Amino acid sequence: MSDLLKFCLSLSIVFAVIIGVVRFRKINPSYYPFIYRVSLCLVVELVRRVLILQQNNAATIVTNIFSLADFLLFAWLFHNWGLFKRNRKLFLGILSTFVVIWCVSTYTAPRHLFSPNLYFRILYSFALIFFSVTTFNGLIINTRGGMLKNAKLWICIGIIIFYTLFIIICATQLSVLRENVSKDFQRKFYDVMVFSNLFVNVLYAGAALWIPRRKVFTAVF
Amino acid sequence: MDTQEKSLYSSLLIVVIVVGIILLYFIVTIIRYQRRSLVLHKEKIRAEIDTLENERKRIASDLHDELGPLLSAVKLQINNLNSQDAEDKLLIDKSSRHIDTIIRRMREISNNLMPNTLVRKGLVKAIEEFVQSNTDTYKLSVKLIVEADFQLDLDKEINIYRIIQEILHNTVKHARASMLAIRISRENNLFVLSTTDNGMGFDFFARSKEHAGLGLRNLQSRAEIMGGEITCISEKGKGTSYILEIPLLN
Repeated sequence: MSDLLKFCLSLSIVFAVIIGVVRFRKINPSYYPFIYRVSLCLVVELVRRVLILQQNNAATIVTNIFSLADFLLFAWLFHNWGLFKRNRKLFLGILSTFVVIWCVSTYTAPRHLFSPNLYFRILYSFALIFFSVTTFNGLIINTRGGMLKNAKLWICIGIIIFYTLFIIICATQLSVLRENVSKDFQRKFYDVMVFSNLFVNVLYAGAALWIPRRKVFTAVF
Repeated sequence: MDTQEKSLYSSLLIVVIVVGIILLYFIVTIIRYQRRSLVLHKEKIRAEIDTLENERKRIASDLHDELGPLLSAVKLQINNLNSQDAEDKLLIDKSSRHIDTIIRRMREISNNLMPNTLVRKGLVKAIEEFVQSNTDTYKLSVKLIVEADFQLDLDKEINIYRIIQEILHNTVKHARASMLAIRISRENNLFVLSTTDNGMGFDFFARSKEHAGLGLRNLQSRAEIMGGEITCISEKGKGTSYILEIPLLN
């Protein structure tokens, strides 16, 4: 698969971004972090592409910083959904812990920001999967309507599928890819993520479409 | 890629595919079971609410049609007593007044159980009547805004009426509000009832997590069986707002 085709497939996030931006004023504000997240994804894809074309090493820095922003935005989304019992201190505690872990994992990496922070990526993927599974279970118990047009459901499924495969990829990167493997093997290996990314981007586009609209409450008088 | 890399790549690919399939199967199965459980849950709630409403209808009808005429007959008979004794006359007057009170109170109870206006004149008139009677009783300033008229079946009208009863009851009893606004409107193909009060409010999230009261559960159950959704926003000191949305059939 050519690099250009991979880049084009990674741009499939643009559908979620367009739907999110068009519906932004109408949707429930608790979903704003999701819209910010998919928009950030698109920006990161474009910036990475430019940097890769310029053969600039900063692409890894962008990915490393994105991994932190990715976690923070999703955590904010789950907080809005009431996952941390709407406890602001607990939420800020979790964010602070992960910021510290990110700093430590980046600092201890061989080339700091220029090395992929794989340990942090595995850890935050686990955290996001746990958050999603808990939210998903809550949905099963509490949802009294149809589930298929439930944005939360599709976002949770997207997170569970994407980050499970992401953990496998990162773990393999930590072990197998440290050996002397051919470029062809590495390229084919990363193709797996391209397809899972495409699948999840389609799920996110559906989720953006089904985000519930903002409720307009009546004034007292 | 050499042979070793090829086999390694195949193994990794198999792992990824197997994990993907298991995840998808797991998710699809859960959603299917949720649907089945939802259908059973709705049937159960519908049966409970139908039983409750039927029982209310029966009691209201018994009170109104059987006890009412009987009490009127008793009153007539008492008034027909021809006693010359002043004490007896006083007693007859007193009994007659008591019977009047009983008849009036019985009508109120019967009307509360199943409002005649709701059955005869429809939802909006029944709400207007209910709001009026409560404004007088509780000194609560209620603003009712009806932006659209609806043709709903009686079951739905009864459920909406009960929801308004519950909200008003909560406003008086728990929120201790002095003002309540009720707006009925139509948005696309939805019946929308929104209410807001200026009461003390409550932590809705904490309440629903710990022990949603019978009233809140009742609101939710009635919204569910109509295929609708009820949303509550409340914060301590900032009043309480509800939005009920029910899909309308074409």
